[in-house]
Amino acid sequence: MKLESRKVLVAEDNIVLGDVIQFNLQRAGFDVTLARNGNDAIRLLESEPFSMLVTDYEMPGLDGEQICDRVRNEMHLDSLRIVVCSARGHELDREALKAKFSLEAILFKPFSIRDLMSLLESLVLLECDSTPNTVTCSH
Amino acid sequence: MLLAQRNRSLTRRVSEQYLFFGLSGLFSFVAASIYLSWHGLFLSFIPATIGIPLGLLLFGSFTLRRTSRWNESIERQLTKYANSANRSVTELKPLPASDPLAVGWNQLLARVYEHSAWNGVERRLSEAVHAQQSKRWESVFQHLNDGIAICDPDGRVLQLNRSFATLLKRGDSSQLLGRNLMDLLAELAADESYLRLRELCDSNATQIVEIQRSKDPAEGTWRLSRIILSSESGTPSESIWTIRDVTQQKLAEKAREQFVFTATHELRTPLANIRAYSETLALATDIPVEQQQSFYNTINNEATRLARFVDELLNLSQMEAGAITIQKHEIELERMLGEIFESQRPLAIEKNHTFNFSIAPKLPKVIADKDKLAAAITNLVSNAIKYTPDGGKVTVSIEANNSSVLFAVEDSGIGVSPEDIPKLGEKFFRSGDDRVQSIVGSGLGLAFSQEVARLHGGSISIRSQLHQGSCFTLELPLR
Repeated sequence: MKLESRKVLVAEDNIVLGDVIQFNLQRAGFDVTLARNGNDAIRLLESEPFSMLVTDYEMPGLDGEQICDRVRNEMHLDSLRIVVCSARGHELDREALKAKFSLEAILFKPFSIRDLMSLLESLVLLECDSTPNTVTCSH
Repeated sequence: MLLAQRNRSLTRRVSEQYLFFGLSGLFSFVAASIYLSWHGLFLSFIPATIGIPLGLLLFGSFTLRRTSRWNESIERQLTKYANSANRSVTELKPLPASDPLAVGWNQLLARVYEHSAWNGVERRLSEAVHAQQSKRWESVFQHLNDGIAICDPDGRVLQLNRSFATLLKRGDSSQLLGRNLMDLLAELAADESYLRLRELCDSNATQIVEIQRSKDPAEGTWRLSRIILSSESGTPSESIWTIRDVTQQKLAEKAREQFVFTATHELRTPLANIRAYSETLALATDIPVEQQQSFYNTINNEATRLARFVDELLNLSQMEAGAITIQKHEIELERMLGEIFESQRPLAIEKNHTFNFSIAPKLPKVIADKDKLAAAITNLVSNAIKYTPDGGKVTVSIEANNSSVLFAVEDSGIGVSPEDIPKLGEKFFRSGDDRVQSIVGSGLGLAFSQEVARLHGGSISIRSQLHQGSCFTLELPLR
């Protein structure tokens, strides 16, 4: 069983946006946990397993880049699929950042909730395909 | 022979010619007397034939000497003048006589003396002016804000002004003469900058490089340029180095970049919310009406936030252009402040602040631009709420005296360091303090408030202690 494949951690300091992401993902059948800042996100990642992380880039405390750094280089959560959302524009070196932390995607705000959801769905499918032993995949 | 004749004086030449003619006369007389004596008349003619010509000769010679003595004197003086090494006109003397030659000579000398005196004055004046000019250039060189150094082809300092010495943190520029400029500059430059500096040094072209003390340009950035002067043969001779401290410029650029980041973030955040909520409403048609209502409210609030930020940007552009205008009317302070208090209370409650408001009784009527003044005070209050850690205390008080009304906003917040206080009013300035950086802000609020206070003839004063809290007071004169 690989029920965790739909377990998502959303790190977003913008309360209203965090709420609406949670609302939509939950409706789409994801198991969503919300962190309001970077430190909370790390604490949650340390305490329970997640298959996906959707994180804001700019946040008080630890920012998105620092979270990715911790996840990949200290916690060694190599299989965690990460999507970064940023209110920064193209001044962010998207390709370099993607390569550095093996990110699935970087979304620029204002992004489409529908796009985020289909991206996460495709990641779940990837997860299922890459693990042939999986008995069921909850979609 | 010719030279010898030229060196003889005029009198000698004339008297020699005179002597020649005299001797001829004498010879004629002797011949005549011999002829006479042949006829037996010789004895009676002896005294006349010898005495008279001799007498005449002597008399003529004396008269000639007398007449030509001024010519002789002039000739002597001129010869002496021509042969003398320094050719000073003071060697020429006027003649103590009144004949035309002497008078002419004396007049000529007077003119020459006069001319020479003017020349002397002119020379002395020109020397003085020159000295002053070179002193002036030296002074300009020393007082220029840009550092300037002149180096020999091997890079050793030949001359260096005070600004350069100050930049190198050496008090006395004379101690740096003869030192290698690259060695001195190396002390200013971080590793990367030093490499750029070396490249500059290895090339012969005129170049400009920026060097930094460290990776952070705020710690010190200098723009260095070098011009190589070529000698006439085309080989490089001296080089002129100029250095300018561009740290402030770099900081301003950084602040502007920071502002663009902040502005785009501030614009995209409400846009992201509006898009997410409207998309959700479009997707999830089956959700309860109350929830739909709450989503619509969120969209409305975010649109308001966006509009407010656009207003702030507009205020900024007006401020930049110096085009903020104020429309003064009589305003009711209590009411205006009540509105501000109510608008800010939700934020204060969200952060668990103790939010107090004290209005002195019987406030005078004030003539001001209500919207701008309210915006200025709101900025002060919202800053106090924003930059005070949760559970702090924010107090707004209004007092009046005979000449002015004082709006004071006091908080128990993170405070401002003494070096940041003067910069607070600068547009885009945000303290480097991590606690400030973690809070969203444009660095424009206080600049705008100060501008509004200024347009009303007032000012904002800041009293603050780092980690303890701050008090911002807007003073509005009554007249």
